[in-house]
Amino acid sequence: MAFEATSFEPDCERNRDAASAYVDGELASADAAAFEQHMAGCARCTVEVAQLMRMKRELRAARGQFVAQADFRSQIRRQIAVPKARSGWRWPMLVEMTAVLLLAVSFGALRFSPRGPGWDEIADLHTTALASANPYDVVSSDRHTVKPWFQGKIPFSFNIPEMAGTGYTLLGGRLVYLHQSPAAQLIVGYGLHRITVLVSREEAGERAASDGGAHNSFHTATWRAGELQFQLIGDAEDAVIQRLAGLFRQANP
Amino acid sequence: MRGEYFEQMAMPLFDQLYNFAHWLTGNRADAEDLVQETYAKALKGFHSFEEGTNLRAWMYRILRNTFLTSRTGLAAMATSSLEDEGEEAELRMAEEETPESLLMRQQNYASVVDTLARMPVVHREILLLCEIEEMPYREIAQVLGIPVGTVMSRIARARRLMRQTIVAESQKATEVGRTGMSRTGVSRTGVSRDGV
Repeated sequence: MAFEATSFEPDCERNRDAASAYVDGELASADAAAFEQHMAGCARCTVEVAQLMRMKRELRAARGQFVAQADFRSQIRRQIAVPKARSGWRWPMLVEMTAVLLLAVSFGALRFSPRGPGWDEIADLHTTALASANPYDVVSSDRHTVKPWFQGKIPFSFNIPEMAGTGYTLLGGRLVYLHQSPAAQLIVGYGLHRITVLVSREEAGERAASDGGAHNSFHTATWRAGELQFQLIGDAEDAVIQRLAGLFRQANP
Repeated sequence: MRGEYFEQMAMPLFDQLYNFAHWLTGNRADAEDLVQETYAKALKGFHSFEEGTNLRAWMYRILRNTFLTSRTGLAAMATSSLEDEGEEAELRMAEEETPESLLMRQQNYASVVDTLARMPVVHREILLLCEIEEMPYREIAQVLGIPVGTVMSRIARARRLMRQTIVAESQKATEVGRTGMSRTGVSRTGVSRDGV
């Protein structure tokens, strides 16, 4: 759609579609420049654009507002899964059972290893945040500021415990991705120590790390609450990590 | 393998499709039915999908068409009309009687999102695609099967209606508040002083 800067005044009403396309970045560069030139002398169109921008911003709250239940997601996954060819019948039953048993044992060994490889990714997220010149997307010690900031950015919600008088300080939060899924990373201070609290969907978090323990001199904790997975990592003492884990557990029963 | 490719490509769209379905249907049970049917149809018709083209637009189009032919969708469409300009003109009058600052002052996240939920489906779906799914106009045109120019004018119209609805409701709330205050004998000056 083409515009001439001189055609906006006095008939701004007719050009309201232009303002709408402008805030969506859908005007061709020449048209956008003409519209900006027009706005410089037209209070009405300037207010119009400001209000549309505000509405756009406020509608972000509707992003990811409705989240499917985990079992429904699994149901769809099963529905579209490609059937795997069955070859086991050619093998004697005993061999098959032995294979299953061996797999189960290996899985168990991996699962209960305190140094699960998945922590590497979370340790990387923690270190990257601390090494960054801008470690937080939202800087605030107020949980009522940090939590709403994640609204519309992650497809789930969680509670941040009150930390006043606990020795911990909420420093801020940032949006990160874990196995291609959005997750919330909170940074909590304890003295000079920094602890990451990572909240993700169960599937992504579980693939990343499913057990607590020590990892490369970091102490860790992890647990599930509903369909959420919580993971804590930091260089503070284990008792400090576990006490913080307790606060988050209480806030997210 | 084609089936595996579909699984890899279609599952990452699940969260977005579910959110969109819930916004369209208004409840979880219908949203689940809609998403399930969408995936079933998409899997069945995947051989007709042209590799390299926009899978997201293709899936959204299936979901949207499935919704429109569902009982809920037919009922929703019956109560809204794109040609209802009379209502828009009437609302525009209401808006012009109100200072623009009223809108800026009284809007909040809840009211904007609530208003979106109550918009007629033809306006709601295009605002969802534009604002929530952040689709460019070209992609929205593919989903809705309309020209890009129509997308632009339809989005602008949906936004106008939404703002007008918010303003009209703000006015109504203000009037109710004034009536309530006069009935209880509270003067506006008194309220203002309390506010300070």
